[in-house]
Amino acid sequence: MGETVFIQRLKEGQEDAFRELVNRFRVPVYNTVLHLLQDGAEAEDCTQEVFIRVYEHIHRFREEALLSTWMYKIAVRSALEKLRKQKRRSFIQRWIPGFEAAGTEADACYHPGVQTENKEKATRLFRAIARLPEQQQLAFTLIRLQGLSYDETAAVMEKNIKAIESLMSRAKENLQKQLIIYHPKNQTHG
Amino acid sequence: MDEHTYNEYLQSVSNLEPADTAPFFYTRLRARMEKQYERNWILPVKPVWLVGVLAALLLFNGWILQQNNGQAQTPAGNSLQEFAQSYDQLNVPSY
Repeated sequence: MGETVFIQRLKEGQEDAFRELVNRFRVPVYNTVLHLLQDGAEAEDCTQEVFIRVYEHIHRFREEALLSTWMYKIAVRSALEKLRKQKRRSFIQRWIPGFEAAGTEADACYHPGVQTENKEKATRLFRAIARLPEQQQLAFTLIRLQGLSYDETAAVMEKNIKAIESLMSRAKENLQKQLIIYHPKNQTHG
Repeated sequence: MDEHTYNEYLQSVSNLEPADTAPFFYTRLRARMEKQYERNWILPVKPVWLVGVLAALLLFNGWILQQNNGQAQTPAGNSLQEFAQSYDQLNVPSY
């Protein structure tokens, strides 16, 4: 009931409701896009875009899904759009002679919450996640890094649980393949 | 790679303290929105829509011109004969 009233206030364009929405979802939205974009400044810019989209399209929200699911959907879509743009840009830049890309993989440990003793491993893992196919990257990020359940992830990604399980299994295989280069002794175990 | 090593990697990012945006996020967000809506007041639709409408108008214009050309391509002799006939009708003897 409270949620319905809150959504109604948002639809009416009430300033205090929008402020409350930002306060409630700023951190989860920021962390989701940060994990996907792996860059603090880009993630902040993307988080702002998410809330602007929500403000403009809240009248389309029909309450068939949870507000949080809808927020995650918009966050994920915005981050993926940004990520695709980045990939297109870096692909073009690769063909320009003498051009050096601004971001390098050396600064891959983008998350301030990683503890010092874990930095090396976390950096390797983040790099490997960034190289996963888009859908695997998304499923892994939402479940392992963002802490969403399989059900919630399925709702955000508009897939069934089986598909999410399959994506997670393939993500694990791909990550293991990528990470094994740091452990030559482990290679025989496959 | 064995499960133990893989789990060590997962462990390195588990229970991460959530990151937060820079301070005054809401103030910056509202400022961006206001700036964006000011711009939108000048240009209420996206440029892509404007270009689309312009292209549609040009096509419509071209179609109208083509239609008019088709109608205008009647034999020139006919209109001359019509003119001569009407002249004859006006040329009534005055006696």
